[in-house]
Formats: sequence, C-alpha cells, structure tokens
Amino acid sequence: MTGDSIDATPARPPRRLHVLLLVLLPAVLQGAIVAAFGSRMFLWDEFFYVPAFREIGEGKPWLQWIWLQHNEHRIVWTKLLFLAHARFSGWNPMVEMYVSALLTALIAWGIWKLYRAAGPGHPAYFIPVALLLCSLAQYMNMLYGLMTCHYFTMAGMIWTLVFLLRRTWTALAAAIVCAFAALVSTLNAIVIAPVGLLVLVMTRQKPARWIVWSAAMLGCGYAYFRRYQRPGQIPAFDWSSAMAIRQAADTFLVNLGSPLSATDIMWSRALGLMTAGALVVLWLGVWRLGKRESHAGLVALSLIAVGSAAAVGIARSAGGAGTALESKYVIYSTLALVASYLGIACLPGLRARREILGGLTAMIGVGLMAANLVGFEQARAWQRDRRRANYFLQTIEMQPDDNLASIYVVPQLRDAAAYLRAARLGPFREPVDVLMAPRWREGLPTAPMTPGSSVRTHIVCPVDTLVDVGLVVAPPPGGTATGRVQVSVNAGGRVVGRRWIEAAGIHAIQYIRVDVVPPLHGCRGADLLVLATSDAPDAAGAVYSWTYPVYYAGVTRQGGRVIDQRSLGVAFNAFSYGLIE
Amino acid sequence: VIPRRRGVPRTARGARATAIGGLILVLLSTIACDRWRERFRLDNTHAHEPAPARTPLPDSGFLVRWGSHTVPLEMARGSSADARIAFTNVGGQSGPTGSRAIPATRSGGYAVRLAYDWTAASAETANTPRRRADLPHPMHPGETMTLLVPLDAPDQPGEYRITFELVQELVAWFSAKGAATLVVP
Repeated sequence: MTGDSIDATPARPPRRLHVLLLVLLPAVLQGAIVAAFGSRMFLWDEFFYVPAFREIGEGKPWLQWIWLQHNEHRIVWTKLLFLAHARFSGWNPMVEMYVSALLTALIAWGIWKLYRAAGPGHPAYFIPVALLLCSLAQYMNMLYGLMTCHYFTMAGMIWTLVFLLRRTWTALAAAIVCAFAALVSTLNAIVIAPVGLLVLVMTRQKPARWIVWSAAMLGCGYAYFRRYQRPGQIPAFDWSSAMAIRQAADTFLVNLGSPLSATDIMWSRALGLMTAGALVVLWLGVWRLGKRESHAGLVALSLIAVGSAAAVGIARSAGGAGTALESKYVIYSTLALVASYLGIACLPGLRARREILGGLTAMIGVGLMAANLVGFEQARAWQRDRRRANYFLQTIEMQPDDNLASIYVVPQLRDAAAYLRAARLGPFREPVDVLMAPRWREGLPTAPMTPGSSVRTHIVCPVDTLVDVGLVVAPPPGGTATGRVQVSVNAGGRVVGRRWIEAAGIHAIQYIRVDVVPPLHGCRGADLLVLATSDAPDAAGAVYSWTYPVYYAGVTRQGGRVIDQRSLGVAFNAFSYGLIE
Repeated sequence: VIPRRRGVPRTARGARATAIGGLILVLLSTIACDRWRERFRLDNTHAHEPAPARTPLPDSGFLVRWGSHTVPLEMARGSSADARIAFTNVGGQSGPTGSRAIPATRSGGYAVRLAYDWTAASAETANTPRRRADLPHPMHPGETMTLLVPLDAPDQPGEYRITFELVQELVAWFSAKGAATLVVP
C-alpha cells in the first residue's frame, strides 16, 4: 500500500460503513485476543483491592478507595469499573479486559477524527493504524484487567484533542472534562496540559481560551497532587549524571521503537531512530507547508508519545533500557508511529512523501508481523503463567510460600485467598479441577522399578472429571534406563487409560502422560488405581518414580510394601489444564 | 479543523450529556446500595478464616464426627487392605496439616493427623495408636474428608478392634478434649 494507488483515488467522504469497520476492527481483534488468552486470575496489584471488598461487605466507608493512590496513579475509572461489575461478574477481570477493547474503539474513533481534521486522507491509510492499536505487542495491557487504566487515559487524552480542535466553549469544557478524566486514571495524562495548550496556539484560538485551559489544568493538577505521596519505589532522576542522561535517552529511543521491535532491544533502537526521523519529517512538513491548524491534532498526538517516552526514559531508565520494551508502555509510544504516518499521509505537498509513506508502510507491515508473532508467544506464556498462578491460589493451603512469592506478598495473599474463597470472588468463582505435587522440592525417589517392584497407588480421586494422569519418572542416576515402562489407570475395575514408553527415552525427571478416554466424569471420591511397571531386567537400568508429602488421599505400595505417609508423584489433569507441557 | 456539528440539535446534545451523567450516577448509586454490598458480606456460616497457623488448636477446634468406613470385619493373617475412613470437622477451626506443621519437628509438631492401631478385643483399654495418616490439606469447619489408610492384619490370629482418632501432634489427642473416636467393630 504505497501512496500511488491510494492518492490516485479522488478525495471523497469515506463511507460510514468503512469508518465503522476501521474503528471497530481493533476492538474486535482485541476482544478476540482476550477471549483466547484472558484469565480470571488476578495479577499482583489486583490483590491490593481485596480488602476494599471486605470492608464494603462489612458496611464500612468505601469512598476513600476511589481516590487512593496506586503508585503514582489514581486509576479512578478502573476502580469504579471493577466495583461496579464485581457484584454481577463475581469480580471477573475479564470484564475489564473487554472494556479495554471497547475503549480501543473509542481511541480509534478519536484518532480517526484527528486524521480527518488533518485533511482528506484516504481511509486505507488507517488500516495499519487500526492494526497497530491492537497489536499483540500490547498483550499485557490487553490481558491484565487493571491495565484498563491506560485505555481510559488514552481515550481521555485523544478526545481532549478532538474537543480542543472545536472552537466552542462547550467543546473546551468537554476537553477539560476529558483531560481531568484522563489524569485521574493515570499520571501519564499530565502531558495533556502543555500539549493541549499547544493545540490552542497552533489553531490560533482566542487567548481567553488559552487562559481558561491553563487555569483548568492548574486546577486539575492541584486537585491531583493535593495530599499526593511520592511512591518510594521510583528513584529520583540524577540530572547531574551524564551516564544517567545517556541511559534515559537510550530508554527513550527504545520506547519509541518498541511497538514494532518484537522485544529485540537493538531493533527497538533502530526503529526508535526511524520513528524519530518520521516525527521530525512530520513536524518540519507541518511547519513549512503551513499546516499548523489542520495538523494540530496529529502533532499533539505525536507529542503525547514523545512525552510518554521521555517520562519512561526519566522514570524507568534505572531499570535498564529493556524496561521500555514492556508491553504496558507500548500503548503510548504507538501514537508516535500513528501520528507520523497519518500526518505525512495528509501532507500532499511534502517532498518525497510517497517514498516516505511507502517506507513507513513497509516498516509497519514487517514490524507488525514480527511483533504479533512474538506477542503471540508471549501471550501464550502469559496465559500459562496465569493458569499456574490460578492453580497455586486455589490450592493455597497446600502450597509452600516459595510457590506463592511470585503471585503476591505471601501473608496478605493467604489472607486474601481465604476471603475470596469464602465470598466466591475472582478466581474462586470457577474452581480449577487439577492437582499436582505442591511441595516438589521435598520429593524422594522410590526404589528402582523392576518387574518385582512395580509401584501401585490406590487413590481417592481428587478431581471432578479426570481427563489425564501424569506420573513422575526419572532415569537411574548416571545411567541409561532400559526396558519399557507401562503406566495404567484403573477405575471401577476397568482400565481407563494406559501408556507404554521406551525407558531409554527418559533422560531427566519427567511426567508420563496417560490420557483417560473418554474423560471420567463424577470421579471425585471414587477409587482409582495407578500402576507403574517396568520390564527392566535389573535395578541398575530401571527407572524410578518419586514420592512427595501427602497431597491426596491414597496408599502407595512398591513391591507390596507400603510407602508410608507419602504420595506418589501423580498429577491429575495437569496436562489438559496446561500446567505441564 | 473539525467544524462544529451544526446538524446535532442542542436538545440532542443536552440529552447525550444527561445520559452520560445519569450513567455515572447510576454506577455510583449501584455501588453504594445495600443490595450491592450484600455480595461481599460473609455471614457466620462462611466466616472468613485465616490460614491455619502453626499453633495449638483452641478447645473448640478438637471436634470430629465420624462417617462411613470400609474397614474389613475379617482379615487373613499377614494380609493387607486399604480402608476408607470418612470424618467431618465439626469444630470451628481449620487445623494445620503436615504441610503447615513445623518442618524442623520430626513428628510434625501441630499437624492434625489421623492415628489408628489395633487392640486385642479382650483388652479393656485401647492401645495408644501408633500408625499415622497425613491429611492432604487443612479441613475447613464443616468439611468432610475421606482418607485411605493401609491396614496390615496383626501377626497373631484372634479378635481385634481397631481404633481411629485424630491428634494434633505435640498438643493433644482429640479424644482427650472430648471428641469421639471410631472403634471397629
């Protein structure tokens, strides 16, 4: 899609259906991503709000939670949103993810309006923009309910610009409301104050409107920062250090290039340079061609991205430039590409415009493919991690602290889980039907499995529907296993699953998967027998299984002898649930 | 510059603003209403319990009701069988299990376990149970758990009874606190 074919089309108003499709495209794709990879499991910061629900249930005042700082942000709309839907959804963070998708439509609509304000650009130029807005480079924003706050901020800022371009006092009031709404979502929106003023100047609006805007922004700032507490975890930036400034500049550049870099830091630097180049072309083109009024919105959009990247550079460079690649920062830096691409598309008099647009289209096309491929893998890993965390949370009373430390601060987590379970909120609304050894560090090997010492465990089935069974096996220490290993699962006097594998293929401790076909419904409480046998001729070449502290009701025997007060390493439904691959 | 949308009448704009404002008001009032709060309130039957601590249970925690079992009435000498034992926590506390007991204590201090042993039928008092079965997870108040325990027939032929009871290691036998034991037959 270069400029030739598109620009040859005579300028005419785009059809409403096309506009609707372009605006809804990113929202629909984002909704599909949420449906495919979303999870009910909370992520770290969300546990912070469990006491809020408990206090509400106890009839205590709850309004202070709305204005309470969350790091440097206030995320007012996000909190109102989950407080509002929690009663109906059982506090399902997927609702917030879908709201993020809806807000993406609002964002796309706002950007479309800024694009149309810049000139009669062809609607086809908006397709890459629509795809950028829902790129999987932003998987974390899409799949984390609390990140709705960034979508509220973005929508608020973009619609502020849309309203500022209208020259009425009502529109100015609406712009101020939108700016305040964005600011009380995340502090990133602070950049809208100077950017909005620039829009008023570029569009040559009356000075009285500049004054009202500035006064309103000062008022918003005062309201926001009144009783503000500086978060302790953000170190102050050292402006006297050349190293710190260089690192911040590098982080800035990496952040600008992050939407297309597929998390590769070197590519991100290169793409950041290219994006910066495109921005310079846009700004110079707008200046020289006298398009300051028409392009004010898109220039402002680009400045939001630059301001956000600068803020990331200053506030987060201490953690290394790689921090700027985090998915949550991509949403803002995407605006740099969007603004420069759409802005240049609406600058017909710009020298070499078609070549620049062609280059940008190619860069966005290839970059989007790479970013989405990598983002797809990251989203899958994210989903896997969420499932694992969900399982740990729902079996929290069996889990050692080590397994929980990555989920939240452990004492608070144990307390929060007890409440969530009792109130059937969040992840506890849909109990997971899976079990595997929680205290795997305390595993002990059985004796070698030979024909005379097969392992047999009699179990009270701990899951409602049994889909698969996994048995831990390990090769002999320092040797190669010989023979074949069979694992069979019996229920109600019949074999419901069986698997043979060559022992020579067992090189490390692993699970042998046995599928139960068809799945055993109503399994909980029934008798199960898991039998593992090996035809290894001697102990030296025989595989082992492992036992763990008791985590299900059962009796394990090897060669007829009871292995007392230990559970054989059996995993129930762990494969189908995704805990084991 | 986006022109002002003259096509939208003032009344329509007013209605739109009222609708948005109304939506926010409905949102806030929904959150504030008592029915909404009800969803997050825990009544006494679902009382919020803290995670089981590594401490002795209070006296109200030493309560158990025995359910069904599959202890065989006859066993051949030298034979073994797995018996299902069901019991319910009728106390008001969750007890720590082996996984939440003090790891440094070999006996699993503070862990609640099922203890059992044979006693000759002719004996007047039951032997102190030596065998133990770990609970896989803490029992919540009102929860019923079914354990499998391995039974080995006594070496000497004769009539025996088997006694099951709960114990909090290094703290107390449940029977000493007034709880029932399960004696078969």
